[in-house]
Amino acid sequence: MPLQANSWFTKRLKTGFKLSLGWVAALVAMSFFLTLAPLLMLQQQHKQTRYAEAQNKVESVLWLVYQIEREHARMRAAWRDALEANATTLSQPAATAQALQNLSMRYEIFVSRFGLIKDSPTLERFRQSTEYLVMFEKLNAFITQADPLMMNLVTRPLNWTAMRKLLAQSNRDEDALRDLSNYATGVVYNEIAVRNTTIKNQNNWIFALVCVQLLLMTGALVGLTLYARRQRRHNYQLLMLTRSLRSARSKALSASQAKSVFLANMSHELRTPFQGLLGMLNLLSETRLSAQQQDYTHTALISARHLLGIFNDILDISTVETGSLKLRVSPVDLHLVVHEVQALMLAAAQERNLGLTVEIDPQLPQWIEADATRLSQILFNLLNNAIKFTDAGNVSVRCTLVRAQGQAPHDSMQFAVQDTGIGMDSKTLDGLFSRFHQGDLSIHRRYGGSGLGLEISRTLARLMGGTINVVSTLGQGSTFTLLLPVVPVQAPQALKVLQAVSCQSLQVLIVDDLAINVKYLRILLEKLGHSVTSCENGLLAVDLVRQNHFDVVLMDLHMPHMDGASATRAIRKLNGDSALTKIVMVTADILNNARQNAIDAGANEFLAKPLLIDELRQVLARCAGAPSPSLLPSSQTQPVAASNLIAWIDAEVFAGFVDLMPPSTVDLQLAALLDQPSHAISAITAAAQNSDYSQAVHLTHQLKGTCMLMGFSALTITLAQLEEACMRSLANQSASAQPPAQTLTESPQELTNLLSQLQHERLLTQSALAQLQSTTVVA
Amino acid sequence: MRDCIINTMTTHQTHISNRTFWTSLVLCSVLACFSAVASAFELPPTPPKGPVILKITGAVGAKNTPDAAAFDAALLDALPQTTYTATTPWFKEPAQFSGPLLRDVLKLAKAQGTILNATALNDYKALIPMDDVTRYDVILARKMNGKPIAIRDKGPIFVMYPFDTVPQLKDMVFFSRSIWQLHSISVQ
Repeated sequence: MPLQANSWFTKRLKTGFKLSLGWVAALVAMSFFLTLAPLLMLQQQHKQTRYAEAQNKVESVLWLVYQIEREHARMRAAWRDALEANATTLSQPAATAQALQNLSMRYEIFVSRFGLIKDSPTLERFRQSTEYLVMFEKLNAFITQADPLMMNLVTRPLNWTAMRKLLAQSNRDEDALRDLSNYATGVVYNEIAVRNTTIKNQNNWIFALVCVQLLLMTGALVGLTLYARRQRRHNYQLLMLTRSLRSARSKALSASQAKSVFLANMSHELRTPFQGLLGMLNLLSETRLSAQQQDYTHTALISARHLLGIFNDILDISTVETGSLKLRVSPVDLHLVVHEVQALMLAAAQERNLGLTVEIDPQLPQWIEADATRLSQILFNLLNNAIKFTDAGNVSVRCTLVRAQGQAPHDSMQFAVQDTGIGMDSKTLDGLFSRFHQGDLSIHRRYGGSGLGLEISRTLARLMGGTINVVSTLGQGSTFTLLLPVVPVQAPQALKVLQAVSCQSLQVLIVDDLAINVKYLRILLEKLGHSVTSCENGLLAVDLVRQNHFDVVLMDLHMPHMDGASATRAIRKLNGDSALTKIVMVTADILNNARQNAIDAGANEFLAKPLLIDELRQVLARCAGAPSPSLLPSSQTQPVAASNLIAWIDAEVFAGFVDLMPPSTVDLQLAALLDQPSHAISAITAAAQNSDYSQAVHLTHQLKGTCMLMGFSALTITLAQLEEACMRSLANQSASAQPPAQTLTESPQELTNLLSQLQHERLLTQSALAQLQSTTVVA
Repeated sequence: MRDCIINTMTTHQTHISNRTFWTSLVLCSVLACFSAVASAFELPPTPPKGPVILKITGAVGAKNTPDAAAFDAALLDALPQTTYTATTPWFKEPAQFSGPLLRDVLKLAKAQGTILNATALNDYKALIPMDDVTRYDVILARKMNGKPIAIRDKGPIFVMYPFDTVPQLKDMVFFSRSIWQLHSISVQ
């Protein structure tokens, strides 16, 4: 037991008697209790003493003794007066009577004093003294003898002898009274001494207690001070910790931000030379190559496109992380977007022997407000995944309209992408939308990919105000559901596809510091029929613009000596027409405000790298002041030489298509489009001739999508015009509500013209394709 | 005539203590009438016939001797009597005291002042503020437990405060004012 206690104590010593607020409070409370309780008791005691004095010591011993001694003396004086009056003035009985009257009163007063001293409750102890007893015996004896004499003192004859004898006796009693007086004085002094001692003791006690209290209070004060100091130190440490944590957090955040910016920049830096590489590869593949060389070039192109996809993913993620991703919303043909995606993915599905079905709820509006690029990106991603992870069976896309109800205040469109693939267990589902996530390493090795796709998709969906959910069973396939709010809009006046127009030959100045970019652009532009000049920085560009006339300047943003923005501003400050030169800012800057910055600097147009030939063409057309697309004459009258391959087939787009699709699919599509007698144009012609315009619209729309996908530019334009014409016919037909039979032979002239033009273009495209294929290996 | 009235009053007063509660209730109304008479009562202009037991000197408006309003036993006993029981330090048991209210006596003497300087037969003096007299029922006790108080029993007049009904009076201050063997009062 002592060992235990000892160990406890040493343990306490080691850990230190922790000074807590509780300890201090207990100390203070104890000090108050230990000192105040006795003080209260003492005070109570004192009060009781005082009260007892007030109750009992009404008349002090000294006063009573003094009074009886005094009254005794006055009585004896009256007694003597009476005796003298009787002796001297016998002749005057009135005087004697007066003296006797006085004596009677004095005697009575004396007796009352005797009674007081005899009965007073104050004097109980005093009455036990010898002095009192002697006095009592003597005075009592005197009163016993005097009382009979004093009765009716005035009226009856007096025994004067007895009176004289009694006076003599009374005179002798004086000694006893004096002794009593002395004794009483002694008693009082004694009492005072005792009381003083008591008070002194009480004072000593109070002093001691106050001292103890002071001591304890000092202890408590010291404890509190120590506690406060410790608390302050503790607070300071916490503050320091908070500060360091905060700075660590901000460091981590800025590091993460820096990483995102780095990724974005890297991606940008990679893409810029990569564009050159890709362009060169494209151009290389168009030259005459041996079969082996074509094979190598093709493989290089496929790898390069895959790499570009990964760059784009990284760029998207970086854009999201830097918070600069913004949606570009415009009226979009929803059905077209879905069909485009379908057309794009069909080949991939067929390659893996998978069925790909797309159902579109007819209730879904045709035109909606959306960012078409981002929407296709999500759909493409989901479909791509579905096809990638399905070995056999079917992949389906179901687009339905979900009416607003309950918690959802708006109508929504729902894209359910369902596959019969490998599916996922719950563990995989948990981390599905996380960055770089793929089921596991073996899956990564087997299927490839950047692992960013689903995260990008979900982020985009959320940006659009929607969600992506997934339901999956391991081994039985998955269903990814994209739910987005739908905002229907009016169909725009002009069809977007018509904006892809050619234009007349322009004087173009390329300003770019990278030689490979200049080279690629020069080839592209020359192919489009423009004359090209180039220089490598902003300063040179300003000089050139001052001295020569250019229709368009393609200005790179980042250059040495003078960047694109500064050069643009400088050109805008030139004199004369030079200041009005059209400037197209070209940059691989991923930040969304790059466009705004370019416009602010005074640029007319903005193009993002890598340049897409369609976009470039559109921009140049706009710069050339091309009339609005709807007013364009048909392609027949366009000043494009039939021999110019690019007018019929966009080689780059076609190459991309060929790269994506397996050869069998390409052949199938080409055959369906171009070969007699089962080609698609025949089907459209048949439908139009049968006045089945809705079928014609449907077929035209589908064919338009395919042509656009394959890069058959002229056909795409004509098909778009045809679709419009068919739709007008369809509207007329339903308005006149005539039975189809009556209009059987009255196919509108416009349709007939367009259809024949289409046939014509088909042949031209076919020959152009043959020409193209003679220079390109389609693997 | 007046003596006659006074005598009647005395008789009635004596009876109160002896009769039952109901009787006293009936007599109450009669007493009220006599009180009204007593308040209108004035000090007789001639000196009292019996031995003077109380002299009121100083600022007094009514005097029946050259220098004072003098009272004999009969004059005091003729005034309305008040009776109560009081516990005092001088007697072991609570005792019943009765006598005229001091303020009635002072009114009779038409005393105008703030302090009463009371003197006892043994020359003991005490100062009684006039406030005490108006605020408390201070009586000049003439009887203790129904018997007249002799000089040897602290008579013939014992100034008594209602110690039992007003608790704050149980204090040295009031005990010292409760003077016995009262002999004279000087109004200042």
